[in-house]
Amino acid sequence: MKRLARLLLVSCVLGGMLVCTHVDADIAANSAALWKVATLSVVDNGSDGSSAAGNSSSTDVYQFKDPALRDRFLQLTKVLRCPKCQDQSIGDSQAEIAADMRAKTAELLRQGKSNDQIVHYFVARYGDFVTFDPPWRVDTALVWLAPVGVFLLGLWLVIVQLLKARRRMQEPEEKTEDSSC
Amino acid sequence: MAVKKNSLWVFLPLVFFVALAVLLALSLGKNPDLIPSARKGEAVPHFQLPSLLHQGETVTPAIFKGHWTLLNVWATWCPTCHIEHPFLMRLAQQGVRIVGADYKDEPDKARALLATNGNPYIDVFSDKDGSFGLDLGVYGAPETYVIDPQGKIVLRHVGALEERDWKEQILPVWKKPTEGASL
Repeated sequence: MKRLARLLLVSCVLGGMLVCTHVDADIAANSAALWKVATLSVVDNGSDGSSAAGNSSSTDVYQFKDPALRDRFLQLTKVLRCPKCQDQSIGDSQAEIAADMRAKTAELLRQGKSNDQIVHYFVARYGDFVTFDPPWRVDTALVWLAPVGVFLLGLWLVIVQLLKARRRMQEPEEKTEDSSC
Repeated sequence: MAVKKNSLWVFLPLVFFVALAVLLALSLGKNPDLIPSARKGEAVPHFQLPSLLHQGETVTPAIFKGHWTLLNVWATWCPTCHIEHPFLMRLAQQGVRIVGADYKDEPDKARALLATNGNPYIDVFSDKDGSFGLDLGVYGAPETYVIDPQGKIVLRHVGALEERDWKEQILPVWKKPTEGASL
């Protein structure tokens, strides 16, 4: 019985770890993208507020009059995902489409659009795929709830096993062979 | 009682494993590069872009009205577009109506290519800066969209269009009344 319990516990913990690693990998990929976006040139001392020349993705430069706008640009280019180089943000990717999306993001920011409106603009064209921050909906609930559920399941199993072990220690006279299959 | 209950728990890891194995096995054959079009069921976004074939004229979504049409997003810089070109020529010979969007390309180069390799398009418009492509949700050329006579997007095919894609993906919806469409 004890062996079975241990087997069960280990398999569930392993299962939980599998799910969690998967989620972690996504988060890690995301934060790697966040880190690398710092390499994208953003000039914040621009006076005219227009985008500078250059259409190659690795050298494009954006100038924003308002530092707040610049911060939002960096934020958005981290959270928007490149459809071509999946698992890279548009701030991180050198794909043509990412460059176009950065240009569009800058354009929409200058038009005074909110972050939500800008993300929505891309979601309407590229689907939920295009954001690293998936929305809360019935069909996406699993993405958000699965890790919590697996964690709670693991927690519950650990507690049950601990309680059982304690009970067994308190009643050492109980025979062990009758409970095994 | 307690023994019986516990014995069933033995199968939990197996169930867990089988479920995971099935999930992973089903995902093996999927191409992660294919993103479903968010524009499916919507009208083609508005555009008014210069025609490559008729100097001085512009093309708008009105070109889709009243006919089933393929909208093919292509460019001269795109090697896969060269690969699919002969098949588009064959479709055109069979009477399939194809409109081309010359995506982020030099109009002169595109015209020259059509002159040498043949032109499968009833009209081609130049989306030189890719803004129409962005509006449509294009993320790489070639992409082919099935447009119904109401100008709505029925289907998107990413990558070179081949005989097999035509038969398996497009023919099942081609000229079939779409949901909510009035005939």
